[in-house]
Amino acid sequence: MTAALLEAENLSKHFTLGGRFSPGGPQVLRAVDGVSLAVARGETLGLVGESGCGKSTLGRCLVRLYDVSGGAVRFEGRDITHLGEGALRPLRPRLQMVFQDPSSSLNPRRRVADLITEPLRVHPGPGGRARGRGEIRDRLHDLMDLVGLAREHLDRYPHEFSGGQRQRIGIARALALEPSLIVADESVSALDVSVQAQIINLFMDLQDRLGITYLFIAHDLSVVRQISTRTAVMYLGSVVETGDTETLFHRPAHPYTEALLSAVPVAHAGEARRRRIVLKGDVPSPLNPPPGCRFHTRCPKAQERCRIEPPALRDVGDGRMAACHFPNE
Amino acid sequence: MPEAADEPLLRVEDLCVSFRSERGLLRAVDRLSFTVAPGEILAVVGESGSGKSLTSLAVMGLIDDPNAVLTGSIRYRGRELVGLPRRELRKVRGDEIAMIFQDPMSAMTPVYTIGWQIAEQVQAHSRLTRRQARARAVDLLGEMGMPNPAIQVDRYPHQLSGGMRQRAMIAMALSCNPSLLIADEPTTALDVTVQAQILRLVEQLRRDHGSSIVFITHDMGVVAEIADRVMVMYAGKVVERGPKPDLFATPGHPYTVGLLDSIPPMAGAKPRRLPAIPGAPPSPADRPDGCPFGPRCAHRHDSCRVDPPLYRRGRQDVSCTLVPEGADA
Amino acid sequence: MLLRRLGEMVFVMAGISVLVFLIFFATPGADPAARIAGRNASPDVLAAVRHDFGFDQPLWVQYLLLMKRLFVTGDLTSFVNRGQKVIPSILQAVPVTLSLLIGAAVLWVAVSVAIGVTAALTRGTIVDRALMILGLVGVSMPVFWVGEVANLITQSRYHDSWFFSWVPALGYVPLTQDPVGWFKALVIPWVTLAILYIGLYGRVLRASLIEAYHEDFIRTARAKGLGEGRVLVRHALRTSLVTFVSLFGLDFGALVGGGTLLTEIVFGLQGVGFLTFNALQNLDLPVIMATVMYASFFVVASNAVVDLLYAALDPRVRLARA
Ligand SMILES: Nc1ncnc2c1ncn2[C@@H]1O[C@H](COP(=O)(O)OP(=O)(O)OP(=O)(O)O)[C@@H](O)[C@H]1O
Ligand SMILES: Nc1ncnc2c1ncn2[C@@H]1O[C@H](COP(=O)(O)OP(=O)(O)OP(=O)(O)O)[C@@H](O)[C@H]1O
Ligand code: SF4
Ligand SMILES: [Mg+2]
Ligand SMILES: [Mg+2]
Repeated sequence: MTAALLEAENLSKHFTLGGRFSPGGPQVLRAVDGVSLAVARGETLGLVGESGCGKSTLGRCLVRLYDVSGGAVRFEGRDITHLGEGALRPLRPRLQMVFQDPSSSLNPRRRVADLITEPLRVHPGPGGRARGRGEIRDRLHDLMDLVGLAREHLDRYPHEFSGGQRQRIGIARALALEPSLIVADESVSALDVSVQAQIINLFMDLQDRLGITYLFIAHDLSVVRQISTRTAVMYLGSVVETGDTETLFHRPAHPYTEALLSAVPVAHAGEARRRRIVLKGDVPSPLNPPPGCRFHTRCPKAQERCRIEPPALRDVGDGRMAACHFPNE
Repeated sequence: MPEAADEPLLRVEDLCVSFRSERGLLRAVDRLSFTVAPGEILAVVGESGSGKSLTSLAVMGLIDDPNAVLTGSIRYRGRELVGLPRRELRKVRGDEIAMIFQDPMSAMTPVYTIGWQIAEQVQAHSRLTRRQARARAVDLLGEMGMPNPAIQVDRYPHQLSGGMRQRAMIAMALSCNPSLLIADEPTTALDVTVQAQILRLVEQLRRDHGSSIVFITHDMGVVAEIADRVMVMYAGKVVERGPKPDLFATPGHPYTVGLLDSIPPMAGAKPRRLPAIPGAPPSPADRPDGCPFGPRCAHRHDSCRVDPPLYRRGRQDVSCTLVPEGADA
Repeated sequence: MLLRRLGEMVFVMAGISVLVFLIFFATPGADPAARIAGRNASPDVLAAVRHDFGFDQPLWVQYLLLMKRLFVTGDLTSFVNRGQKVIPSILQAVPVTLSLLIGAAVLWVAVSVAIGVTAALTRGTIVDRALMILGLVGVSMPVFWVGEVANLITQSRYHDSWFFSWVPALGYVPLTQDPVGWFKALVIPWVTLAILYIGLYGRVLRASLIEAYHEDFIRTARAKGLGEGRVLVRHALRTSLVTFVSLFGLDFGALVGGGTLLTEIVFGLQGVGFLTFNALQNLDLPVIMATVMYASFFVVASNAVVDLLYAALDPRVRLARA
């Protein structure tokens, strides 16, 4: 593997719920709990997992929009865990995020043209000089074309767009500075499959051309399979499996990955559906994660050992790492 | 199947939604007609920005942009909804017709807990006390597969993950067992296992209460799983509709064909580039004469210069000149 | 969090008191004793002042001495006004200012909410435009001018007409003595003071309501089948409240701290503003210093209250602190 562009080491993010005055006192929610992963330069790491397992929180910690509660984040080999907003500023152009809820991340009072060009105006161009008006306008038009928004949309406000159009505004904004890393949080979920295909192709072309690295968070596993070179699976705040995308999709080592893949609805007539593994048992909460393996309450393969001893993420062959006592071969 | 039922639950005829702008009236929804039979699940798919959300907002009487112009007829159980006074509309909304909105973060009032917001809707249409309504909210969240529903009811929207917010939104819409549920991309933020659970709930709503569901989605897998009939929209128009099996097996419109081809495959070889439909959809300001898909269509020929009506082909309706000519897309 | 906020407040106030002290007593090149004693003071008085304020001792002793006299013994005396005790006179003035202010605040909140809501609901119509122009007029009329005109009308010109004959002579009537008289004496000052804020708040509220009506959650509220009234109050107004309340807190603090000066003077109300005004005219240093300190304390306190309210009203702010 080449040098990692972005690395997380034992990263944690805890939220405190309830104050001193609420019944039961404050509780700690371990949204991200001891995650270690590395994203190599020029690769795409897919991040999948159950809803609420901490993917967005992890993404926000990695681009340091959240202060982390523990562990370390390294970007371009440099420790950025405790950098303040001022020290992060010069890094921001290279470190972008596309947010999950497109409309709440767009200022409703700004026109689209302003929203997209904002990063171009606040960050200096190459060589440290501010960009000229003409340069910004050309770039704006390029970006609009790239994500498939029409020119006459420029003067509109976010609420005048459809959900998918808003999402593309967010993408255009993140691409504006040609960053070296983009954390894309559910950024193609509101697009129809044809536009989605165009955007995925665009992401892959940009990667070929500019070597952009992506952390691609998504629920649509077919999209993840298409775009990512490697995939990480999260469950309840920690990574339970990582591996080469093709291997992981064909021979998932962790029982959770297996269950997840089996639940994918298929549209292509020719594709046979996998035998569906329905997970039983209560979904545990990050407020009081179960002891031992966190998945044991719902795992079809759970044994006594799983209830006591937490499995560590370890090599299970074929470049797969899994946190399970009884991984699939 | 229920296509021939004598009295549809919802009948939309010649619905047009336009926006006044400097360039004159922009037509976002263009003479749209469709029906929903009792107990039917109609899936609506289509290009991003083709007017799916606007159509559902129109049915709810919720288009409040002062620049919007709405014409046509929307009949619910034989009763005209267009032009209905607000007081009357209010009794229908939320109780008989409920809607799940596309962007759950901005669609919830930020200063109230999700439990409060669900209880508010329950109380608006029933005689339950505050406490009972809250208990109902907890039950509903539990049914949605929220871990720890009793704790989650007291949390604010911004404290939840994208998928949890979406489930709170769904719980709100389902709280009054509506006869017609309009779900605007309700599962985009959900992982496949939770998504499967929600789809089961939707089916249960139909089974237990005979409700009809209009299900807007981009996920063809979900369509394949749940829909009875499918309606495909492009540039504010219906380009194809028909029973799901027929439409998947023999798509009639070139746009539908392109859409189905753009889905990233879950098995088999992974294409280097996804086969997206080339070009971009026409903007409402300069729609081409004739078939709106014309400029992107590989089969375009002379007769496409007049806007094709919906032609009957088997059990499908297709708005393409190839159909009467007997050619296949 | 409450405690921390309180601690911060005390800290800031202590800082302010040091600053005020330094400005008044340690400005180089001027003899504070001479200024305190007033113009044309005899050498005896000067000596008494020197001793009284401990000017022959180090600076920090002077500061502590002053704080003691301000807060503990409360026996700071004015030399200009020959022995007038500063603290009691401030304490006497506070109820006057508060009476004026609270009445005006009730008035301006009620009326501006009514105006803001009406204007937002009738947006674009004549009603809306008329209200906004009225608001603008209110904002642009100087308080002292309005006050003088009101006095002119109600005290002299038309005092004898049936319409204004109830208006008593200028001055304050304590609430405890004669509630009706208190009310009568203050009605006109209330209206005068409130006019500016009614215009201001009405416009602000209208703007934030209109913005709130653009939000998606209003659509959700309607989709739930709620009545327009509930949509307005529980959703639009509730979310607009954040701006409104914080604005209110800051303005209120500033007004208690002496912002009512003009109104008090025009209507001859012996409030804190009046006191400050007189002290300024006589260059009565101890009184000026005490009122400045009192004013800044109120501004700091109202800032803290606004912060707490802000957190109470917006969970995103409250929980971000956790
Ligand atoms: N600001 C916050 N305060 C408190 N808890 C939070 C906050 N943000 C997230 N959480 C909690 O952290 C957990 C992880 O949330 P996160 O948004 O990272 O999930 P996710 O994996 O992105 O889920 P989804 O796929 O549904 O978007 C959830 O239990 C959520 O309730
Ligand atoms: N208030 C508005 N003013 C002007 N144009 C608008 C307004 N609201 C929507 N539109 C336009 O109407 C068209 C249809 O929007 P709609 O939200 O119905 O699309 P959609 O089919 O739901 O798309 P998506 O799948 O991306 O959500 C879009 O082109 C959008 O830009
Ligand atoms: S460790 Fe045990 S409980 Fe956990 S996933 Fe593996 S088999 Fe299941
Ligand atoms: Mg998320
Ligand atoms: Mg939409």
